[in-house]
Amino acid sequence: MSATPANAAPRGLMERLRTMDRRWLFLFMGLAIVLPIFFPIGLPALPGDATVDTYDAVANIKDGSRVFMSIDFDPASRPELEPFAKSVLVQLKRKRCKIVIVSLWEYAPPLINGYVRSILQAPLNPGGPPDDPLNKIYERKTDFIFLGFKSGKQAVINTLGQSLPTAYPTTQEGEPVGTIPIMEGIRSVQDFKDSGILILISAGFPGAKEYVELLSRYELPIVVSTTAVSRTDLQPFYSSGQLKGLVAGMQGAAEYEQLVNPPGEQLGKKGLDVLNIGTLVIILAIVLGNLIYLAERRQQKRAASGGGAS
Amino acid sequence: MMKKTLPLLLTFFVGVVGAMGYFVPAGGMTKLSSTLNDFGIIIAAVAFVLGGINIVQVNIPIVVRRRPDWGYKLVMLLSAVAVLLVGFRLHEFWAPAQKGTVAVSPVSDLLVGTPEAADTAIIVVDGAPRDLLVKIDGKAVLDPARPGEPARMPLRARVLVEKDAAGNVIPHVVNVSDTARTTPPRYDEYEVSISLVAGGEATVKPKLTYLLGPEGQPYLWLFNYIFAPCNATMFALLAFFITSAAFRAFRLRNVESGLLLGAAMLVMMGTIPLGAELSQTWLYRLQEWILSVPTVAGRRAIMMGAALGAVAIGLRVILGLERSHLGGD
Repeated sequence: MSATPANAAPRGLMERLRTMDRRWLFLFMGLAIVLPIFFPIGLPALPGDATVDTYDAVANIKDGSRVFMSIDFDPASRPELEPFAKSVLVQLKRKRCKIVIVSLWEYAPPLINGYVRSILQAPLNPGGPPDDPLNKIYERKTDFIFLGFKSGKQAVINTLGQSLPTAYPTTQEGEPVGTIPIMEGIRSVQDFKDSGILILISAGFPGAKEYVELLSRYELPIVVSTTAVSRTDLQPFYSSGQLKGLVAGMQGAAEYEQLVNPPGEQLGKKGLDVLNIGTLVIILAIVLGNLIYLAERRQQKRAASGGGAS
Repeated sequence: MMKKTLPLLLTFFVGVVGAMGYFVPAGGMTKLSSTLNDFGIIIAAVAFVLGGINIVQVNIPIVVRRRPDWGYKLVMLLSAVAVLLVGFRLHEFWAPAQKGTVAVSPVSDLLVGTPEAADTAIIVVDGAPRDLLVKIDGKAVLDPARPGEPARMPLRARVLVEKDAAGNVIPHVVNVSDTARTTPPRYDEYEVSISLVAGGEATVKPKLTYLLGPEGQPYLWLFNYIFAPCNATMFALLAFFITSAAFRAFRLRNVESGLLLGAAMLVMMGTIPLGAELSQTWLYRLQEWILSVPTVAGRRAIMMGAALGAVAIGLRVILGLERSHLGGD
């Protein structure tokens, strides 16, 4: 991928590495990402304290409670957030919880409808006992409702804190929210405070940070799953107790998936191998880059002292 | 004067009322603040329409005049139109008023002269497409030749004719819908209640409409097989550029960059399970400490600074000292 003129002096290893075509790096990284998918390693994830807190917060709500979920991500963030989204829906289904779902991202509804169909409205343990809660087919409007996407960003979140029917007067099918059985008695998200929990799955803006900033005055029990880059934005809220739990990135999602152990394919587990190897490649690239840099500096110093002596 | 003054007055009013809504618990102020909030939600929705109009306004002249990259603009416009068309629930405009017809006959040719005619009736279901699921009284009508598979239309089902305590015939409920629950249905659903006499026959002909809109198959196909892979690919490219940037730019030039490099390496190694395995978890604990203590301290300071800055900017906008939001000079 790089041509050397015929009359040039032979180049050292470090020089060749320094001027290496970056496409070799891309190839190496590509293999590091693709190969673990076909040849899984299967290293387990050690669940962190924040992930365990999230799991416990959801596990400790009463069976059959009503839960509020805001699912705000797009296909770009699926690897980091989908394992958590699916696992927490399975966990809630095991507890026979009723779920109210909203979204502030315009690309989320097709993903959410897919999760609803494949998890809430499908038997997840077909060979199991008939009373297994995982086999229950959730009925729309009585066991769950997806109110749809609403534009307006912080304005919607602010309104959710005061009046949910004002923020979402109708469902995405146009039915008045007041006529939905699962919404009976719910005036705002504050009504989830005692009986349930707020689960926020957020890839960016608007998302969990805005929810916490605008709704923390109501002291609501909130757990969040977010991307790895957003972890530092939300860590202060978790450290101060405003969030009951924080699951960050694919690592956190895989840890959560391990705790829930949902039936079927576990995407987080698959992604963890890619994360392992990909991170190692980046570390190796940094180490190699610094070795080349240090070798260069030593060469320059030698050349400078050698030139000074003569 | 009104061109600048009116917007400034409006900004002042909205800003003051919005802020006071948090501090003044009186019902009137809270309601006013909440109403302004609702205005914001409506304006945000209108922004989508404006954005769409803007895209057309900007790109159609480029296509018409064959400016550079006009081909890409044309593809973008055609894609937008295609998604818009399949995204509307257009089927609601041409769906028939009646989703099906039912013809009831007191005598069935199949049952005439048979002992079954005393307590049995026949329900015939015939419609297109043929692979829809037919349920009678909640039970799926299955194909005897293909175990577990729904019977294809036209199908004939024998049903018992029963009466309630008052002697009235209990009607049978026929439901026709798309088969799979885990993929979005292609067609809407038809349900009808039929009262039959013993020995009689009912012919049900559903006229179902192919569904469009955000839950329709065309829209979801475009989303799942074109948009989602493209969206994910753009994000996935970051992995390659991060590797290249890490190789070329993440260098140990001085003490500060050394600290940054060291912390980054520790956090990366501690995050991945391999690091925890190799180090007997001390690396994992160290990276947790780095992310929970010094990072949070720095982050909190930045957030507080940003919040103070936002308050300052907000005050300047409310008082009319900052006019960049008005546009113009």
